Amino acid sequence: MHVFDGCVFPYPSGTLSIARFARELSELGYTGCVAAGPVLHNRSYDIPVWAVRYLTHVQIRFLSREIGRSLQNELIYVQAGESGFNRQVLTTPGVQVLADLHTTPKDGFDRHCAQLAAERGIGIDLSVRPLIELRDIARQRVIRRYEEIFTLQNRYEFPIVLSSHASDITHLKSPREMIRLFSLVWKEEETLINALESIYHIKTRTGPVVEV
Amino acid sequence: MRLRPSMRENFRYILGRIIPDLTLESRDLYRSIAESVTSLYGDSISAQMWPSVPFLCGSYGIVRCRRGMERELETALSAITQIQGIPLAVRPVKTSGTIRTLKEKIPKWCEKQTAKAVISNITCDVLVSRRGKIDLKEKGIYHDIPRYITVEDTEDLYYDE
Repeated sequence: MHVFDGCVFPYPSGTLSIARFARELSELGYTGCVAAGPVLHNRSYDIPVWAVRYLTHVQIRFLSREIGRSLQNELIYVQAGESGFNRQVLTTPGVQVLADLHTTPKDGFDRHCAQLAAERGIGIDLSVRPLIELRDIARQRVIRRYEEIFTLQNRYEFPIVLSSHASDITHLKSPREMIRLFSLVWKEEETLINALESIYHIKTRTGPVVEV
Repeated sequence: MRLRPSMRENFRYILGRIIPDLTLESRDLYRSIAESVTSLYGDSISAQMWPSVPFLCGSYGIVRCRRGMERELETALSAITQIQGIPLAVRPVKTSGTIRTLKEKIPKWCEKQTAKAVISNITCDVLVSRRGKIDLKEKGIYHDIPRYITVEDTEDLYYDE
């Protein structure tokens, strides 16, 4: 079983070094993690750490160029925007995960996006941080948005990636805590357990694009 | 009202660890748990849950709730982000039907040692815990170096006498 934290932010974005993240996550029960920072490939960590290039506020015409700049074996995460932008991102080769969907406008991720994500095996990253950091209406909006995404996932079966987006030691959550917190949104535990494993399957996928 | 033992309410106890290691008062922990439960589930579930903090020792605390509500309480514990303005997390470690079982899980001794570490040519006072985890003690230098590191990240490490 490959239980991965979908994305963590080590130093300089966060307060933990990558080695410390790897140790903490290993103790929490993860078998790997994805870090948005400089991962040294000649150094061994307690668990496998994959580097990610996290593209935020990128214009669609520069997206292919930015993807081309990424290093070998680096995952590509792109911050989501309005629905047209998301469709363009989902059809761009090289993108593995669409992230930050809670910040998109209403209908930013519709059934067309869901279908494209399912066809191309692109993961949809859901962060646990808005669920714990926001309060009242803001949290209710995020729960509703996540529920819509889970409903679309139930229909189109695109991969969902659960991540802590941790930048501090207090943001880290164990797999059990992640499942508990996401059970506020979606009650089926099996879907949530699969979501913790999905980044491993996205990274190691070798098959072609399949039309859904 | 005094009830027969068979009519008394059954409780479940959750051992929680406060991250980073801090010593708090149980009423502060109770207030943040109550706030978290209410904001997540509302007054109705909060009233049915009966959360309380019967035991707090260092950075470990035991939280009580009615049987059947432990999943909701675990979720609420995970959703705590601060207590009295101090950013921290409460991590559920184990759930049990007795306090004694959970007390056995609490480490008996403080595992942290003070030391001096050299990181990026800066010498800092640090706390070294088991498995080589290092927490920097000094404040105001975190722009230059990460606050939480491991022994492998340091250039040199001298344990205090």
